[in-house]
Amino acid sequence: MIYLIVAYLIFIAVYALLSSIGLYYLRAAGRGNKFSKRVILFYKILSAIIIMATFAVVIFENL
Amino acid sequence: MTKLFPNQKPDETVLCIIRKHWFAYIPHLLLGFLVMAGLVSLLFGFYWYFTDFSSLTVAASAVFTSMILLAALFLMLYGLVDHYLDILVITDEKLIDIKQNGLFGQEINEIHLLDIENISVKLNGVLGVYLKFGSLEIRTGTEHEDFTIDMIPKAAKTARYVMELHTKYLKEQEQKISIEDVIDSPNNKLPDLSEKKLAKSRKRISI
Repeated sequence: MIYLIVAYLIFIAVYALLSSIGLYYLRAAGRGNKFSKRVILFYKILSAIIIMATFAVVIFENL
Repeated sequence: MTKLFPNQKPDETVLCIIRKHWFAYIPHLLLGFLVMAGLVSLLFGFYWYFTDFSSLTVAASAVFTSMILLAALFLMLYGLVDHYLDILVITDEKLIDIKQNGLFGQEINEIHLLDIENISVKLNGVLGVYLKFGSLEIRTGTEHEDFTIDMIPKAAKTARYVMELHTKYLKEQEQKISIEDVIDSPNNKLPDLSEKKLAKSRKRISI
Protein backbone atom coordinates (compact mmCIF):
# COMPACT_ATOMS: atom_id res chain seq x y z
CA MET A 1 0.00 0.00 0.00
CA ILE A 2 2.78 2.40 0.93
CA TYR A 3 4.43 1.92 -2.50
CA LEU A 4 1.15 2.72 -4.16
CA ILE A 5 0.81 5.97 -2.23
CA VAL A 6 4.44 6.94 -2.87
CA ALA A 7 4.03 6.25 -6.60
CA TYR A 8 0.86 8.35 -6.63
CA LEU A 9 2.58 11.21 -4.78
CA ILE A 10 5.44 11.19 -7.30
CA PHE A 11 2.90 11.22 -10.15
CA ILE A 12 1.10 14.18 -8.54
CA ALA A 13 4.39 16.07 -8.13
CA VAL A 14 5.22 15.66 -11.85
CA TYR A 15 1.64 16.49 -12.79
CA ALA A 16 1.66 19.64 -10.65
CA LEU A 17 4.97 20.78 -12.12
CA LEU A 18 3.89 20.32 -15.76
CA SER A 19 0.44 21.76 -15.09
CA SER A 20 1.86 24.87 -13.43
CA ILE A 21 4.04 25.48 -16.50
CA GLY A 22 1.03 25.07 -18.81
CA LEU A 23 -1.15 27.31 -16.64
CA TYR A 24 1.59 29.94 -16.46
CA TYR A 25 1.79 30.04 -20.28
CA LEU A 26 -1.98 30.27 -20.51
CA ARG A 27 -2.12 33.14 -18.00
CA ALA A 28 0.69 34.98 -19.80
CA ALA A 29 -0.92 34.52 -23.22
CA GLY A 30 -4.39 35.45 -22.01
CA ARG A 31 -3.07 38.56 -20.22
CA GLY A 32 -5.65 38.22 -17.49
CA ASN A 33 -8.70 37.86 -19.75
CA LYS A 34 -11.87 36.09 -18.57
CA PHE A 35 -11.35 33.00 -20.71
CA SER A 36 -7.89 32.16 -19.37
CA LYS A 37 -8.94 32.91 -15.77
CA ARG A 38 -11.94 30.59 -16.04
CA VAL A 39 -9.96 27.79 -17.69
CA ILE A 40 -7.28 28.00 -14.99
CA LEU A 41 -9.88 27.94 -12.21
CA PHE A 42 -11.78 25.04 -13.79
CA TYR A 43 -8.55 23.05 -14.24
CA LYS A 44 -7.44 23.60 -10.66
CA ILE A 45 -10.83 22.71 -9.18
CA LEU A 46 -11.17 19.56 -11.30
CA SER A 47 -7.63 18.42 -10.44
CA ALA A 48 -8.23 19.04 -6.73
CA ILE A 49 -11.51 17.07 -6.81
CA ILE A 50 -9.88 14.08 -8.54
CA ILE A 51 -6.88 14.02 -6.18
CA MET A 52 -8.97 14.47 -3.03
CA ALA A 53 -11.46 11.79 -4.11
CA THR A 54 -8.60 9.36 -4.72
CA PHE A 55 -7.10 9.99 -1.30
CA ALA A 56 -10.56 9.66 0.26
CA VAL A 57 -11.03 6.23 -1.36
CA VAL A 58 -7.53 5.04 -0.38
CA ILE A 59 -7.92 6.21 3.24
CA PHE A 60 -11.50 4.90 3.55
CA GLU A 61 -10.47 1.45 2.27
CA ASN A 62 -7.66 1.20 4.82
CA LEU A 63 -9.58 2.27 7.90
CA MET B 1 5.31 48.20 -22.53
CA THR B 2 5.63 44.43 -22.69
CA LYS B 3 6.79 42.97 -25.97
CA LEU B 4 4.53 40.53 -27.79
CA PHE B 5 7.36 39.08 -29.86
CA PRO B 6 11.17 39.33 -29.60
CA ASN B 7 11.92 41.76 -32.46
CA GLN B 8 9.18 44.26 -31.67
CA LYS B 9 10.37 47.84 -32.19
CA PRO B 10 9.29 50.48 -29.67
CA ASP B 11 7.42 52.50 -32.33
CA GLU B 12 5.79 49.45 -33.94
CA THR B 13 2.01 49.35 -33.47
CA VAL B 14 0.28 46.01 -33.09
CA LEU B 15 -2.89 46.23 -35.17
CA CYS B 16 -4.40 42.87 -34.35
CA ILE B 17 -3.68 39.44 -32.95
CA ILE B 18 -5.36 36.48 -34.63
CA ARG B 19 -5.66 33.13 -32.90
CA LYS B 20 -6.46 29.89 -34.68
CA HIS B 21 -10.11 28.94 -35.12
CA TRP B 22 -11.64 27.12 -32.13
CA PHE B 23 -12.16 24.11 -34.38
CA ALA B 24 -8.38 23.49 -34.30
CA TYR B 25 -8.70 22.61 -30.61
CA ILE B 26 -11.36 19.91 -31.17
CA PRO B 27 -8.89 17.02 -31.89
CA HIS B 28 -7.11 17.63 -28.54
CA LEU B 29 -10.44 17.75 -26.74
CA LEU B 30 -11.61 14.57 -28.46
CA LEU B 31 -8.40 12.79 -27.55
CA GLY B 32 -8.86 13.70 -23.88
CA PHE B 33 -12.47 12.48 -23.88
CA LEU B 34 -11.46 9.32 -25.74
CA VAL B 35 -8.91 8.49 -23.03
CA MET B 36 -11.58 9.08 -20.37
CA ALA B 37 -14.13 6.93 -22.25
CA GLY B 38 -11.53 4.17 -22.62
CA LEU B 39 -10.89 4.29 -18.91
CA VAL B 40 -14.59 4.08 -18.03
CA SER B 41 -15.07 1.04 -20.29
CA LEU B 42 -11.94 -0.58 -18.80
CA LEU B 43 -13.29 -0.10 -15.27
CA PHE B 44 -16.69 -1.51 -16.25
CA GLY B 45 -14.95 -4.57 -17.70
CA PHE B 46 -12.81 -4.90 -14.57
CA TYR B 47 -15.78 -4.77 -12.19
CA TRP B 48 -17.77 -7.14 -14.38
CA TYR B 49 -14.95 -9.71 -14.59
CA PHE B 50 -13.84 -9.67 -10.94
CA THR B 51 -16.34 -10.11 -8.12
CA ASP B 52 -14.18 -10.30 -5.02
CA PHE B 53 -12.26 -7.14 -4.14
CA SER B 54 -9.65 -6.65 -1.47
CA SER B 55 -8.97 -3.16 -0.08
CA LEU B 56 -5.67 -3.08 -1.97
CA THR B 57 -7.41 -3.78 -5.29
CA VAL B 58 -9.91 -0.99 -4.73
CA ALA B 59 -7.20 1.47 -3.67
CA ALA B 60 -5.01 0.50 -6.64
CA SER B 61 -7.89 0.88 -9.09
CA ALA B 62 -8.75 4.29 -7.56
CA VAL B 63 -5.15 5.45 -7.93
CA PHE B 64 -4.96 4.08 -11.48
CA THR B 65 -8.23 5.79 -12.42
CA SER B 66 -7.07 9.04 -10.89
CA MET B 67 -3.77 8.89 -12.80
CA ILE B 68 -5.53 8.32 -16.12
CA LEU B 69 -8.06 11.10 -15.43
CA LEU B 70 -5.31 13.56 -14.50
CA ALA B 71 -3.29 12.54 -17.57
CA ALA B 72 -6.35 13.13 -19.80
CA LEU B 73 -6.92 16.49 -18.14
CA PHE B 74 -3.29 17.44 -18.70
CA LEU B 75 -3.56 16.31 -22.32
CA MET B 76 -6.40 18.77 -22.79
CA LEU B 77 -4.42 21.56 -21.12
CA TYR B 78 -1.41 20.75 -23.31
CA GLY B 79 -3.63 20.99 -26.39
CA LEU B 80 -5.09 24.27 -25.20
CA VAL B 81 -1.65 25.79 -24.60
CA ASP B 82 -0.57 24.59 -28.04
CA HIS B 83 -3.71 26.10 -29.57
CA TYR B 84 -3.91 29.32 -27.55
CA LEU B 85 -0.28 30.32 -27.99
CA ASP B 86 -0.31 29.90 -31.77
CA ILE B 87 -0.92 33.46 -32.93
CA LEU B 88 -0.59 35.65 -35.98
CA VAL B 89 0.38 39.20 -35.05
CA ILE B 90 -0.26 41.94 -37.59
CA THR B 91 1.63 45.15 -37.00
CA ASP B 92 1.87 48.28 -39.12
CA GLU B 93 5.16 46.95 -40.55
CA LYS B 94 5.09 43.17 -40.65
CA LEU B 95 3.32 39.88 -39.99
CA ILE B 96 4.61 37.64 -37.24
CA ASP B 97 3.58 34.01 -37.06
CA ILE B 98 4.24 32.53 -33.62
CA LYS B 99 3.91 28.76 -33.41
CA GLN B 100 3.96 27.03 -30.04
CA ASN B 101 5.32 23.49 -30.20
CA GLY B 102 4.26 21.81 -26.97
CA LEU B 103 5.25 23.37 -23.66
CA PHE B 104 8.87 24.14 -24.40
CA GLY B 105 9.11 24.90 -28.10
CA GLN B 106 8.36 28.08 -30.00
CA GLU B 107 8.89 29.04 -33.63
CA ILE B 108 8.64 32.65 -34.78
CA ASN B 109 8.46 33.65 -38.46
CA GLU B 110 8.37 37.24 -39.60
CA ILE B 111 7.50 38.72 -42.93
CA HIS B 112 7.69 42.39 -43.83
CA LEU B 113 4.60 43.92 -45.44
CA LEU B 114 6.75 45.09 -48.37
CA ASP B 115 7.86 41.51 -49.09
CA ILE B 116 4.32 40.25 -49.68
CA GLU B 117 3.69 39.43 -53.33
CA ASN B 118 0.50 37.44 -53.20
CA ILE B 119 -1.86 35.98 -50.61
CA SER B 120 -3.98 32.96 -51.43
CA VAL B 121 -6.76 31.65 -49.22
CA LYS B 122 -7.66 27.97 -48.99
CA LEU B 123 -10.87 26.90 -47.27
CA ASN B 124 -10.62 23.36 -45.91
CA GLY B 125 -13.62 21.24 -46.88
CA VAL B 126 -17.25 21.60 -45.84
CA LEU B 127 -16.47 22.68 -42.30
CA GLY B 128 -13.97 25.24 -43.53
CA VAL B 129 -16.56 26.80 -45.82
CA TYR B 130 -19.32 26.64 -43.22
CA LEU B 131 -17.25 27.87 -40.25
CA LYS B 132 -15.20 30.25 -42.42
CA PHE B 133 -11.72 29.08 -41.45
CA GLY B 134 -8.90 28.37 -43.83
CA SER B 135 -5.22 28.65 -44.48
CA LEU B 136 -3.36 31.65 -45.79
CA GLU B 137 -0.48 31.15 -48.17
CA ILE B 138 1.66 34.25 -48.42
CA ARG B 139 4.11 34.35 -51.30
CA THR B 140 7.16 36.52 -50.88
CA GLY B 141 9.38 38.07 -53.48
CA THR B 142 12.47 37.35 -51.43
CA GLU B 143 14.58 34.25 -51.04
CA HIS B 144 12.66 33.37 -47.86
CA GLU B 145 10.27 30.45 -47.89
CA ASP B 146 6.59 31.05 -48.48
CA PHE B 147 4.51 31.62 -45.43
CA THR B 148 1.59 29.29 -44.60
CA ILE B 149 -0.73 29.84 -41.67
CA ASP B 150 -3.44 27.24 -41.03
CA MET B 151 -6.90 27.40 -39.47
CA ILE B 152 -7.26 31.17 -39.59
CA PRO B 153 -10.80 32.35 -38.76
CA LYS B 154 -12.42 34.52 -41.47
CA ALA B 155 -9.47 33.75 -43.74
CA ALA B 156 -10.68 35.73 -46.75
CA LYS B 157 -11.32 38.85 -44.66
CA THR B 158 -7.89 38.54 -43.03
CA ALA B 159 -6.21 38.19 -46.42
CA ARG B 160 -8.01 41.28 -47.70
CA TYR B 161 -6.99 43.22 -44.58
CA VAL B 162 -3.34 42.24 -44.98
CA MET B 163 -3.37 43.22 -48.65
CA GLU B 164 -4.89 46.60 -47.78
CA LEU B 165 -2.17 47.13 -45.20
CA HIS B 166 0.45 46.16 -47.77
CA THR B 167 -0.90 48.71 -50.27
CA LYS B 168 -1.13 51.42 -47.61
CA TYR B 169 2.41 50.75 -46.42
CA LEU B 170 3.69 50.77 -50.00
CA LYS B 171 2.05 54.15 -50.66
CA GLU B 172 3.51 55.60 -47.46
CA GLN B 173 6.98 54.44 -48.46
CA GLU B 174 6.57 55.91 -51.95
CA GLN B 175 5.52 59.25 -50.50
CA LYS B 176 8.48 59.16 -48.14
CA ILE B 177 10.85 58.48 -51.05
CA SER B 178 9.29 61.27 -53.13
CA ILE B 179 9.63 63.77 -50.26
CA GLU B 180 13.24 62.73 -49.69
CA ASP B 181 13.90 63.25 -53.41
CA VAL B 182 12.47 66.78 -53.20
CA ILE B 183 14.48 67.64 -50.11
CA ASP B 184 17.62 66.43 -51.86
CA SER B 185 16.80 68.27 -55.07
CA PRO B 186 18.25 71.80 -55.48
CA ASN B 187 14.96 73.66 -56.21
CA ASN B 188 12.98 72.02 -53.30
CA LYS B 189 9.72 71.45 -55.17
CA LEU B 190 6.85 69.63 -53.46
CA PRO B 191 6.21 66.12 -54.85
CA ASP B 192 3.61 65.51 -57.49
CA LEU B 193 1.60 62.57 -56.05
CA SER B 194 -0.41 61.87 -59.16
CA GLU B 195 -1.07 58.27 -60.14
CA LYS B 196 1.44 58.52 -62.96
CA LYS B 197 4.21 59.50 -60.56
CA LEU B 198 3.18 56.89 -58.00
CA ALA B 199 3.25 54.18 -60.66
CA LYS B 200 6.71 55.29 -61.63
CA SER B 201 7.98 55.17 -58.06
CA ARG B 202 6.22 51.81 -57.51
CA LYS B 203 8.15 50.46 -60.47
CA ARG B 204 11.37 51.80 -58.99
CA ILE B 205 10.68 50.10 -55.66
CA SER B 206 9.89 46.76 -57.24
CA ILE B 207 13.23 46.84 -59.06
